[in-house]
Amino acid sequence: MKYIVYISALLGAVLLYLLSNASANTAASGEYYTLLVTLNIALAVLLLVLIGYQLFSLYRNIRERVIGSRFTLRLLGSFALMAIIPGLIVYMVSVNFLTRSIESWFNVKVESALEGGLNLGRTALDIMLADVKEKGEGMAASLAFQPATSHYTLLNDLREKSGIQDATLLTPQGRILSVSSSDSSSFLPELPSVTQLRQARQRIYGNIEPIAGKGLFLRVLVPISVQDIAGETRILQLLQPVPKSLATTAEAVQDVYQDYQQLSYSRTALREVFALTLTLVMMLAMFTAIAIAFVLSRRLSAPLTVLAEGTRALASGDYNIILPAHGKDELGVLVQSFNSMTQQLGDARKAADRNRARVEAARGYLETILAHLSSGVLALNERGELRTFNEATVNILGVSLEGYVGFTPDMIIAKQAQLANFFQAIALNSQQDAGQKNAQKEDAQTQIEIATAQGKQIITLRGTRLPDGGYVAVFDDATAMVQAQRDAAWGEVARRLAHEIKNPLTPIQLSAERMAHKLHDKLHDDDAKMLKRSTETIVNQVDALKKMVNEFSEYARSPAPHLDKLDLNMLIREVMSLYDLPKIKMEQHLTTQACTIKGDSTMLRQVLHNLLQNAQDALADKESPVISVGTENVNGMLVLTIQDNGGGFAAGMMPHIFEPYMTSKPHGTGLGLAIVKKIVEEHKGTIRVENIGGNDGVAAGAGVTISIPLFIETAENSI
Amino acid sequence: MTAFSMHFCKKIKHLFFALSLLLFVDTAQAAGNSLQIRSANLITYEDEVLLNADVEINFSPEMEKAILKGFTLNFLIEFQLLSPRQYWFDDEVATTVQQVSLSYHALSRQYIVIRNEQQRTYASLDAAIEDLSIIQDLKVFEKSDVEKGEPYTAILMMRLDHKKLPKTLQVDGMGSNDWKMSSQRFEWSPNIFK
Repeated sequence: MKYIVYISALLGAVLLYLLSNASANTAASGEYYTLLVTLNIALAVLLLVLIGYQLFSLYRNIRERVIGSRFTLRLLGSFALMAIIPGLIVYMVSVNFLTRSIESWFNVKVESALEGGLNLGRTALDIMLADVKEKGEGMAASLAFQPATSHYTLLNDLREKSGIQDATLLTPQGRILSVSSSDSSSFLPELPSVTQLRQARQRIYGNIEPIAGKGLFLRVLVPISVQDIAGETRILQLLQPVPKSLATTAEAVQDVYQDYQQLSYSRTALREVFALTLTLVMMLAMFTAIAIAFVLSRRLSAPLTVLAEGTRALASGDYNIILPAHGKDELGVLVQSFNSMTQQLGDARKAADRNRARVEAARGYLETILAHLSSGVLALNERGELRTFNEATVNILGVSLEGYVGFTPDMIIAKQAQLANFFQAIALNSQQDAGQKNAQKEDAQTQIEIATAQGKQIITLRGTRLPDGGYVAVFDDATAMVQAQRDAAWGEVARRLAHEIKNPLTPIQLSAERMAHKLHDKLHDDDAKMLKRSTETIVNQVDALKKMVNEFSEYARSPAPHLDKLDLNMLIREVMSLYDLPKIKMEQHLTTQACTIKGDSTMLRQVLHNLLQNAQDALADKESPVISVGTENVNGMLVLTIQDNGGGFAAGMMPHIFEPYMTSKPHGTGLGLAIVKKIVEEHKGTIRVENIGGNDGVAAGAGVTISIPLFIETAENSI
Repeated sequence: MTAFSMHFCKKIKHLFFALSLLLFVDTAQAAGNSLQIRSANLITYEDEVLLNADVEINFSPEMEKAILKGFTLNFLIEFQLLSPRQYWFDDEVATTVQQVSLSYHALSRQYIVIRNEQQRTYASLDAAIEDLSIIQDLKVFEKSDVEKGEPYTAILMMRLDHKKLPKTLQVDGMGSNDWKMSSQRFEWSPNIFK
């Protein structure tokens, strides 16, 4: 495109030069002028097409919102205006000036002077012609009275007398009769034309004639009426050259007059030629200027376009963009600066990304820690609203707090009444801490009891103020620990009691038996009977006491479980086959999936016995009693449920149901469920008891659910 | 300024007229001027073939005025003898161009016709035109140039020689019919060779 424009411009310059030369030099290049004009017009059309194409492509660019196109348009407009305005002014002035100056070349005075000169010449010639005519008439009169035979000599005399150069006698048909000439150079005189002869037959005829090669002549033809018998008319021709000096001057005047007339006649054409030339020059110059303006504005806007594109790429987040270097001018510096800026931005961005990744990693680390923390962590913001909590919180509290983020503890209490103790304590602690903001006090640990479905839960709560004014509470489910402490205490008591009580029991029993044995024969029947009854009572009660003490000691002894691969379903079937009770209907809902666990068969058998015994006891006086035992696999846990349709657990017992010596039965030791729970926990399982809801709030049965992790065959386990 | 702009408009008009003339072939004949060949024939005289023709020439008043002002009009009489060929350009057997000029001698008030370097003067334009319009015994080619029995086509044209006009009129001539004089292409098949 650029080269096309330059070539066109060069071509235009050459053509314009030729054209202006052609306009200036009127004689030389006339025939080329039309060609030149045509070529120039063609070039102008070409340029126009070029400009049209450029404008169209620019318009298309603007429509497509190509960066830099509007700037190009503005530059182009400026350049074009800079070229067009002075060009137009010069053009208008030139055209005006030219047309007027051409007009001023021609004026009336010059014309009339030239005409006057011409007329002067004509008049002088006319006078000379009149003179020759007069002489011719005189000669004709002289000749007319002479016989034709003497005409020749007379002609010569007369000619010489009157000082005429050529005298010729002709027949009316133009045949030469006799010639007399003082001009020795020509052999024959110039003959008149037929028309002239015809005219001369009637009367005298005079004419001024330019004769080729000889100059200006005066020709006079006079008819002679010869007075002889034949009466034939003859014609006398006189030829007299116009004096050289007069002829030259008159011819010169005539030439100038004709030149002037020609010029004057063609001045409109001349003016139009000039105007056309100027218009073409103007058009070519304008079009070339506009076409070049296009190239220039493109060139100027190109680096800005590159910059703008770079900026756009930068804005869209591409920091890898490197603009091509652009010369050593200011734009080059700009491009260079842009590149270094981009690089710095890219580096900064990378650093920011790195930092963010680091922070993310730290956050993830903390979150992982928090998530896998067994302690519940719960944070309040500076307004006392719930901000975050970890998974353990949900596990401990048994309630998802997901929906309560942004709630204050009071609002949460309103929704979850069973957590009232817990959140009241948190609210209290956070307010206390807020009161002693600056005090570096020790974390106060509070112990709270909350009632959940699993029974009473003991939570230990610590809290501290956060730097941002919030409050973080860390709490643990201390139920197990407290339970363990309680179990340990019970175990110790049982062990001691067993030990202390067991020791005197045997002597008491032996003494009683011995007393009965020794005194049996020495007493009367009545006394002996009484003694026998008493000693039997002692022995029986001691036996009962011994049994009880043994149970206690067994609970306290708690042997370590011996865990082995075990199919729980088989165990259940085995145990249940022992309970072939006539009154009670036994139902089995065992899963068909694998229910292999790692467990101690003896202990688990005891668990089943205890639970089935409990159920059986609960169904003592019921009609159509049913015990149902079921297993299922849920999320990698084997879930065992034993349900009955008895009276359920008493509400007051629920919180303490797993504590030893907790029983509703007349003859129970209250150790059954406690032992069950201990064994289940030793199998890493959980136990849950619940009353199965019936009508009117009265329990329609009790259910015990035990979850034990399924045994999963792994490389480690199989060894 | 308005006068100027009007003038400018006129220029533009002229320019466009010139442009349109370039684009379209100008077939219009001059309104006032006319040049028409009425008849033409060839005769043989001894070894030569001579052309005789009768041309009708009319000048517009404009043209007459221009002649009076001293313009010399040069006419070209162009004769061609072609031997027609069926699948190719016709063969050019002979071409003759004669130049005739007409001018006005202001000093003597005579019209001068120069043909073949022979000058004839006439007192009136009509007489001069009469001279111009008769082409007599113009030697065009020799008998030996042609073969008997062959068909030939003779073409005669007469036109005003533009190149001899002042240059400004040449340019103006593109747009002005006053200065465009050209006869039709007069074609005939001469029968003198049969």
